[in-house]
Amino acid sequence: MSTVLIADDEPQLAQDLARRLQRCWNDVEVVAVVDNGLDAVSELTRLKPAYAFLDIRMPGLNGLEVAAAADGTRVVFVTAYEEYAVAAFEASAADYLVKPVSDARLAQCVARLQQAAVAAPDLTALLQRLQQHRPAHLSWLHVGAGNTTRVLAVEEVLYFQAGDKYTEVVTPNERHVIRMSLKELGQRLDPEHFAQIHRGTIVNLRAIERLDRDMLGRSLIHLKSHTDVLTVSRAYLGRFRQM
Amino acid sequence: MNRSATRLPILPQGWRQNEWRVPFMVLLICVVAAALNVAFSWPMPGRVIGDVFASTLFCGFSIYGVAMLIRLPMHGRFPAWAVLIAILGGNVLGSRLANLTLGTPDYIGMSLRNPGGMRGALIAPVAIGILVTAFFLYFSHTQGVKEELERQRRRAAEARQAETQAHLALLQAQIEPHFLFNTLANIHSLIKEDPGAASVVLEQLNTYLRTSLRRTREPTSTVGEELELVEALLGIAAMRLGRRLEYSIAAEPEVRAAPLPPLLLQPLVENAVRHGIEPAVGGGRISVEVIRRNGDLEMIVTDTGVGLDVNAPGGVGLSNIRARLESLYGVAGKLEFYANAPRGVVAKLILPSPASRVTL
Repeated sequence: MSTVLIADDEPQLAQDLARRLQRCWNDVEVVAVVDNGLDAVSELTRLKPAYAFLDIRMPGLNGLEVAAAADGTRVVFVTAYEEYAVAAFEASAADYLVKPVSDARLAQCVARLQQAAVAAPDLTALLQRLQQHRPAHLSWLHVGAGNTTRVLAVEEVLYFQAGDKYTEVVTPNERHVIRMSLKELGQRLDPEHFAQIHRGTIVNLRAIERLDRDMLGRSLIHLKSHTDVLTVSRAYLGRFRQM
Repeated sequence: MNRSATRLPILPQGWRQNEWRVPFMVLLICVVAAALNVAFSWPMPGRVIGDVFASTLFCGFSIYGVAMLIRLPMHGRFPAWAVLIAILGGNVLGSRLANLTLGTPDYIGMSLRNPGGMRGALIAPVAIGILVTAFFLYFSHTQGVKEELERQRRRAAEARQAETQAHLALLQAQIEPHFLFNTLANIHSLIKEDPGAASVVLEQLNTYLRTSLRRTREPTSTVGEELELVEALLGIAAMRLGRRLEYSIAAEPEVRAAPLPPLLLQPLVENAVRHGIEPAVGGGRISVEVIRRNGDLEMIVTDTGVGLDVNAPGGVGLSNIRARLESLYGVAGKLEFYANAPRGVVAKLILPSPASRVTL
């Protein structure tokens, strides 16, 4: 018996794949159909199926993460996302299928699986490559607003101003305070879009209208959608100028 | 904050916000120049003092007038040769006009004809005063006009860029390949097993495609139309995700007729599905509500998905919505996010009543 696990967060497609595998594969037995990555891993370790058909985009863990945990199971990726480095799948999976899968393509895939086993793929390199693309920078700020929690996108923020205990967050229409210190913000914000211009100020580079000097020789930043004018201190001017 | 609101509406484009101050400055400088003139030539009979003041004022305002005339067809630019013409022409014209209307001596005309004459002594201070006026005019105008022009050019460019992006997104929205292929794959799988369900999904896909295509021809739609599209989208998503997605849509009939630019509400709903429900192991619920509050149109998309982790992707979609809001409504259009309890996100889109819409 060829035991098969199917993991797809779209149940309709998972059931359909199960039915079609049974039609074109004589000794197949679909032992589990799951709709998320966590269930996929637990069923894989419990049932140890010979083959696993994994969707790439799944809640919990994605198909690649599940595949990395599949020991001794040959993996076929099933995805609607062709740009997910198709070439990489070729190198690291027994096969990959792009949705919608035609009967002919599925039969070809089964034929390939029935041939002598191929050496187990090494997914670690692929996983690392995909994880590098994930931005680790701060993109949302949670600010208290009465009983509710407001969530601000960092791109909305014009600048951050350090206060005594809090940091003030200024957007075109509002001001909020957060507990995160300016130092921590400086480390977690995307340096491509945010720059420190003063001991107490971090500015959103996309919000800057222009930089000029006043009569005392101080460098001032004018913002696009706000009347506040920010001072660039001498210590940060050099670094800021380079941008 | 809203610059366009503080500018006087009756002034033509290219005028600076503080331009009304210039005539007062001209007046002030003329008076100072004439006073200096009188002081240098003291003692002087009362009648001549009057003549000097009148003539200087006429010259000053003539320079101002000529400068304005030259500036009209130049779109706010004011090169040096124009200043020269304004000073010379304005002086000659002003002095002559004063002579014709008030009967004061035509000082400039006389000194041009007879440079060594007695009254020629008056000319130097008058000319200096007027030169100052002219330079003042030149600097204040070019500076301000340049800034204003620059600002307007940048705003126009930004608005154009936002429009172009929206248009591109519009084109992409129609041919979003993942959505299309995924939906087709699902229909394909349904056809044999559940033909009834397959035809329902086909109908929804049809609605989605028809509405999306109509938009390339008509830039605005209504809330009702947008909700039809959203319903088709959510219907398809619910079929795809099975028991993991529930949804509801609510709007009063009155609100459905309200005009609504496309690509404001739809991407929020798509985000809720893609970043809220799809990554949630247990799935969740999306509710879309459109209400009218104090004249403003409020659209609330609530989901019970994974919520906005501080590192969750913000997405190009959101910056597109913000850029569109800014270009359509200025600061009056708002997009706010809240954490939903116990999990998920509340996205609130607030559009001002059509009367306060910014026209660019």
